[in-house]
Amino acid sequence: MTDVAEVPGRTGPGRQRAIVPLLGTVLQRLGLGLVTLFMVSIVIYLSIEALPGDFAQSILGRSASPETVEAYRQMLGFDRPPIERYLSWMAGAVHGDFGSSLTSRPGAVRAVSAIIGPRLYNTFFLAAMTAIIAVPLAILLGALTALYRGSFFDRAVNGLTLMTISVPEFFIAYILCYLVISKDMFAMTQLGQLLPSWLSSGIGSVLSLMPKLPTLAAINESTTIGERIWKLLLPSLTLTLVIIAHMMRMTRAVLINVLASPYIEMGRLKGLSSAWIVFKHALPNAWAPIATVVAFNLAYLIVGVVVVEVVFVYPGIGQLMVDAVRSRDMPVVQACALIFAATYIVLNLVADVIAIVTNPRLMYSR
Amino acid sequence: MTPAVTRRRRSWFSRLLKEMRHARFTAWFGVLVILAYAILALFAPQIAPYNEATVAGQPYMAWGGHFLLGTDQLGRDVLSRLIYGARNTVGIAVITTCLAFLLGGTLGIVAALYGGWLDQLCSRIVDVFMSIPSVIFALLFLSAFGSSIPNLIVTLAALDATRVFRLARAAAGNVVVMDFIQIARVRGESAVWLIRREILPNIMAPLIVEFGLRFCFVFLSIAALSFLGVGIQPPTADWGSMVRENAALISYGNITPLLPAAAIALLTIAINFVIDWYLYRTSGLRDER
Amino acid sequence: MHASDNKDAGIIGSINRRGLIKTAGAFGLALAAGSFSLAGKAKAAVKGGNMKVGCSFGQTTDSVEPGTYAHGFSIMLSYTCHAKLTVVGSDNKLQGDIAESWEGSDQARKWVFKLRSAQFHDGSAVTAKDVIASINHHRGDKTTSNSKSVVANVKNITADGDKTVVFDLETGDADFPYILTDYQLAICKAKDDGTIDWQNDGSRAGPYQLAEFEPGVRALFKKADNYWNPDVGHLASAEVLIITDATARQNALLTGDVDIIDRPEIRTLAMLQGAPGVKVEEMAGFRFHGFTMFCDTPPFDNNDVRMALKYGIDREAALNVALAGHGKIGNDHPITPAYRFYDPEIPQITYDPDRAAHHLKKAGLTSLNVDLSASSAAYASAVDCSLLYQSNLKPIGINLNIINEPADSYWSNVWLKKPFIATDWGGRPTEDLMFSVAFKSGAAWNDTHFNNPRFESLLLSARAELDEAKRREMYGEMQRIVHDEGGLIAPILPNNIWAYRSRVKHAESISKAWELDGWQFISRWWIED
Repeated sequence: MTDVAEVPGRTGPGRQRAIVPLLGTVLQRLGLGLVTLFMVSIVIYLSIEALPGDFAQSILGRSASPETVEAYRQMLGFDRPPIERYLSWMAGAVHGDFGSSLTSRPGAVRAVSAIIGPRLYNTFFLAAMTAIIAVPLAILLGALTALYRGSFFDRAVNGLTLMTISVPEFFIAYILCYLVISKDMFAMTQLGQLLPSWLSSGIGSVLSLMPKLPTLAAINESTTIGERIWKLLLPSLTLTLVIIAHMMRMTRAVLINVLASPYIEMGRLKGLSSAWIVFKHALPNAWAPIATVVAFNLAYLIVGVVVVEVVFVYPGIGQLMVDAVRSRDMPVVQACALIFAATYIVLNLVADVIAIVTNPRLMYSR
Repeated sequence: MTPAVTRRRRSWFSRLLKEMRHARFTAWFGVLVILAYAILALFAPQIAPYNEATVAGQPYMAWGGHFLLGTDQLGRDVLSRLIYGARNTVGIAVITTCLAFLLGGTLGIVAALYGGWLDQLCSRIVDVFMSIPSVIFALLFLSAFGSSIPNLIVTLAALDATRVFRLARAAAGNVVVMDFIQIARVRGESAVWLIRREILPNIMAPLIVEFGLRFCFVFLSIAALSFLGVGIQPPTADWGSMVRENAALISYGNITPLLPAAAIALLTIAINFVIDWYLYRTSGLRDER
Repeated sequence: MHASDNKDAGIIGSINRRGLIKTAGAFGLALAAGSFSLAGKAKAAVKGGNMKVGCSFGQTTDSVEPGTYAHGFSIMLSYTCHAKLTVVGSDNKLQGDIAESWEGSDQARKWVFKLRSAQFHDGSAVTAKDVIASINHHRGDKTTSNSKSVVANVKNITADGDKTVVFDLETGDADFPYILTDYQLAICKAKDDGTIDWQNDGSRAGPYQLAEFEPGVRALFKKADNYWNPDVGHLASAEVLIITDATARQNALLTGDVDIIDRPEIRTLAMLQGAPGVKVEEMAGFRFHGFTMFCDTPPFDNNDVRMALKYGIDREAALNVALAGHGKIGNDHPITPAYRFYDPEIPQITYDPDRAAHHLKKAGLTSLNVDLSASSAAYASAVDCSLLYQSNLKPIGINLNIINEPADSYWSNVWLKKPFIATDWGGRPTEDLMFSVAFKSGAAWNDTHFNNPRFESLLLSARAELDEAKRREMYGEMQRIVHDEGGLIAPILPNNIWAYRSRVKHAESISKAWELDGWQFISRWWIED
């Protein structure tokens, strides 16, 4: 957390004094975060208990006889009262032991950490890969549209990004897959025949230049890193299209606001170029809200991509959690929920720290 | 209708007209599209050639003839379903977003105004709900109580309200420390007066922006929930579910699934154009360029 | 099984699927209606190669414990890497697997199975002790196996030397050798304490080894070199990917990322068929969609009301609405044409408003209001079908009030609890099991509350009857009784559908149980580039 304080361009005696209250804020927020995590675990526990059916029923299915379900419940220890089961889970969780999945059998334990570990890595990999593409692109586009606001470029980028956020993410994914499928036969598909022939053959020849991207991001332990990146191109492109508009629009709005400040006017009067003003003077003063929206979208990349995982058959943690909710596999649901909550809390904290560091006035309020 | 009301209305309307004369093309476009959607939504039964649930023809009929935009997988008229979809989708989105803003906005402002334990309590609850992924939360809730339209609205509104709360609290927090609020408080103004006359007008801009985005995200949330199987149940027409139902067609270059997606996209763009214009008007950049 | 053609089959389908597939448990015995064949002559199978499979089923909670096998993926896993005592062949005839021969006696109460010299994957021999432990895994008070009811009739199992197993049954059952084809009754190596080792691949005896398995994600099968039958298992390996989203599955097939998929999206089947290099196949099965009424609850306790409702649905239209025509129309009894003893002579019930009104009048009614519970959990288009039903019934004077129930709790809170609901049954391997499970008075899943004395006595005598002609007659009469008096309305019989790239080949005749050669395609089909 401390290196966050070392934002370039901010030196001087104020910086030394600033770190102490900042640390206090961070610690206080982390403490609150723990309280939040605890409450999340209670809410999740109660919700799963409130759902119709339990793990034994869901795993055995409709055709299970009542005695079989009862035997299965006994094996799972469901004869103990819910509070007792929660407390014993909690006791383990406090020590970092999230227990084992309810699919475990005597002699064949499936530890939650072993199930979640590789999936968590997959999720972070996809999120990181997307963020590396999307965040700089969004900020750059935001700055450029702020710089050339009102121009054709501004309107075109605005309209296009608005279109990408208004289309459901699975649909963006399907459209990208369609482009791959129709790569070498675009003119023969229904859309190709609907368009005038010069246009469809034009699109067709552009498409045929495109490499044949894999539509399945199925990976396993033996997948090399290069292969993994190759297979994740379509999913991360989909996610980039989903999140870019939000970040870009926020950057643009904030920059336009900053550009109305007197000191910018001053710079303009001094004869500085517009681009210089935007990138050198306006952007550094706009980090706080941008950081907030970037944090929000990074959190989304980790907690909210279940649909993209399903469409591209990517074994991430979102799909795991939905599966676990469906089968009422409580320990797995709990662990996923806590990971998601922790991600959210930490990213928000980082965003707030950036906001405080870039705007020292915030440090002493409250 | 009393004359006074009519007069006020006219002046509001003529102000709008005056405003529109100076507005940009994008704003005009946005207002027209929103008006068109409103008319479609209000008069869907009169405009649509068929009922949303009527199986009027064979599945996947071509465009033209009796079915201007063809038929869907069951042989229902796509055009009629799109029009009814405007009513259902926009209706649900309006109710959901209004509920969310009423609940989240009010609580956020009150929390900022009073602070103390009320603020702490609300903030902690909101923290908990925001740190559970909304799709998972909706899935839990709708699985437990069934995915009827009222349940869907309540779930999405509650989830949105947490986001609105954060924004309203933060924005109002900046305002309540201002001198004029302190003065009004000393003057003994009621909380309702303070909120209506002093706080709301000052935090309107971020709230309006958020309203536009939240409104559009409702469609997407419904589409995502349809993907997980807990969205709006058939045969109710709604754009999000229609995209989902017909999505498989896109792999064959059939453009039917693009229609509901385009309906959502057009409305999103229109709303955001209008909001951009509003921001542009209220920001200091009006005369620039 | 439900949700086969579920457009939402995404992920929501899977849990419900899991719920029903076992019920759906039709292990193919169908010998009745001619064998499925493709145009062209049978060619010799090519050995070797790797097949990539996109499977619609599969969850992270999947296990390799045979008692939990429930849905398509685990059925495929079971038939690919486990051996059974008996197996239904591609020709839909019963064959020995681990069992070389068998014989029933004492009015089908005693069955003796002789084992062949087969090996587990680790090289050790399969003995009577292993077979007994494997069947006992599903018996007893403590078992958590879903097959407990399947082997409930077994009184005692004994070994007679290393290579002979003797089963004593409570009541005579002529179908007992068929029951042993069940995908849960996998033969695993016994441990010293009489339990089985189901975890290690060395303890399985099927044609393929399970080389890698990530539940809900993928499985990799490799040819076992010591399976007893050299004619089974052409592929060197097969990789199965779980692709729950129907569109993603179809896209993967179109791009060639997988060679074969189950359950393609039914609405776009025609377009998939038209795609270059893709073949689509469909075949009638054991499953039916429909509605069930409690025969002892007013107004359904009056058979004329039941008949009015049976004549009140337009079956052809329902077939189109539910399955875009990919199926057959049903005749309100559970025995589909794919069963051995299906009776084609029973008159087909059709949409006949006059006749329905006549029955309603006979029941002393001029109009009727009934509630129908439906949900996409029953089958994907259940609500659409119910709406069609509603419009069909209106001219007859029956006002159907459709209640759209929550999908997640449909099978726990609506099925067996409400008197008139939409339902889906996957069928059973034998007529006897189907009738015993869902129509016998007092049976746990008698979801029509059916109770008919003549039916009950036929059920008992047909089970122990070894003469095939007599059995056919008895099962025919039972079908008639349910057709004329039962509370089941079964207007739609869906087809099993799958699609593959043209490099995949199979024999002319394939099994009718479920899809994909009874889910045994990995060990029976091959690849020819």
